[in-house]
Amino acid sequence: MKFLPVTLSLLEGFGISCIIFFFTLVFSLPLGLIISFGSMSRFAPLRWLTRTFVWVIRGTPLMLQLMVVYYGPGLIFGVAAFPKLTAVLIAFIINYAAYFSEIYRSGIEGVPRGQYEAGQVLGMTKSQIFFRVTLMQVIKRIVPPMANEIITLVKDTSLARVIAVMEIIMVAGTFTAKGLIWPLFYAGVFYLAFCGILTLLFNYVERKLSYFRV
Amino acid sequence: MKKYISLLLVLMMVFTVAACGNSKPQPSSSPSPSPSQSPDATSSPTEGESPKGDDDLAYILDKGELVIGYTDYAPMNYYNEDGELVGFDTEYAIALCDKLGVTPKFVLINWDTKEYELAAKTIDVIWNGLTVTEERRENMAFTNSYIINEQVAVIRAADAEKYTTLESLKSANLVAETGSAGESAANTDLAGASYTAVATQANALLEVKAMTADVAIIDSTMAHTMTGAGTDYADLIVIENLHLTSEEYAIGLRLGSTAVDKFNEITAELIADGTLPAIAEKYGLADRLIKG
Repeated sequence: MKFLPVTLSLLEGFGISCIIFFFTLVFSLPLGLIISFGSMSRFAPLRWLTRTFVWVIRGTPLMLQLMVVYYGPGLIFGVAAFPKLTAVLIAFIINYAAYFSEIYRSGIEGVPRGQYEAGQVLGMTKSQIFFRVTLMQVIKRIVPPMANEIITLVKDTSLARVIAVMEIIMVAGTFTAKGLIWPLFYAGVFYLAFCGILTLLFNYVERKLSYFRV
Repeated sequence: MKKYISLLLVLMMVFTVAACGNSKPQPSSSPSPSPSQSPDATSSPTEGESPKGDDDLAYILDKGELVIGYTDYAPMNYYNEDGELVGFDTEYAIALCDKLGVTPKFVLINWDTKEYELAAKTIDVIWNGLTVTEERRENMAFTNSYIINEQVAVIRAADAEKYTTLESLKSANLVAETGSAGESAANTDLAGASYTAVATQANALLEVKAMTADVAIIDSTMAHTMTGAGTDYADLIVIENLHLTSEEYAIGLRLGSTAVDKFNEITAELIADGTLPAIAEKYGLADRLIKG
């Protein structure tokens, strides 16, 4: 097998990986914020419910969650519910939203209490304080832990192969089954390059957000 | 503000639960003849609760398509140079579906979770050089066997003189795919040798090449396809005249499926009219085809 067809096949697989990465990010970032509100709620049952939810999601392997989402409906109701890629996205979005929610919570709770009070003294409403005072600082504080999690997400996309979604590692595996070993390791280069770009991007974002530095 | 958010969250959770319930009557995944299926699903509410008790043949005929679970596994199901899915099982399935009057739909699966796929109805049959084993009989129904599946031992060419008999293999480090026929051969014919299970047969060869194991026990056809000139395993060889336990391939259906008899009947016809022997000839399996 030649180098070019292998590269093209791997690129096709990497496209699927990127789709998983991109959609997971787009949906789990806002969902994570909503979940973090839930786990900080003063309404105890909701707080309890969301924290249990986060515990379950963070406490079980993503690989297992993928299988639950994909096979679960069929096993329980006798009818398959989601196409493969949809099932993957659902599992990834929920899983990553749970992790992100804790990062948001650390960021939000890390803003000194005095700033809320200062805002109240100035006559700002709760939402004004949140969006104009807290959130700006939260974004800046959570960039490093978020970057960490997002880079993990790039590589976690390979878990999708557990339900036979043709992401890059699975594509590379089909070459291994034909007697070629190198495509598997070559696939690593794609991840490395992508993570390299992300790292540069996050460094840039961090630099841009380094205002308020004392 | 927080109260509204709380309320919104509770609503969302309720909605999510409701959405899960709603997903029930959706057809399997593709736009198959849903008009014939949807009324069925509503008229028999018990259908979803006892998938084993269903009339599986009627279910398949009703859908008008047979969803076939496969993995990329030459020469049974694999992609040729033009990127088309070919192989013995592929052509066999197309021929059988033609007689059955349904459209074959091939779906790539993860071999480790094939039983879930079957039970969850994401596929209707496993048709991919599936070895008949007693353990598997607990999870699926088999048709009559159609191919004899020999197991062979693959070693590094450098070790050709070291490993020649079953006896000499007992001192080696064995490796085979977990749950495969190779694994059972390793555990019966070569009991006592040190054995490691790996995820796939391809990984087993990789282990031997990488010197992390000495002997891979894999399918005969796969061994001959994957080793030799033009592959990365040119330095691996198959030990000749070593008689390991051989097993048989069959089509796996849902446990208690009513389609088994129909499949056997059609297969007998395909053998009688020469269709299946011709396909076997094409993929070099003529001497391994079971003719009734």
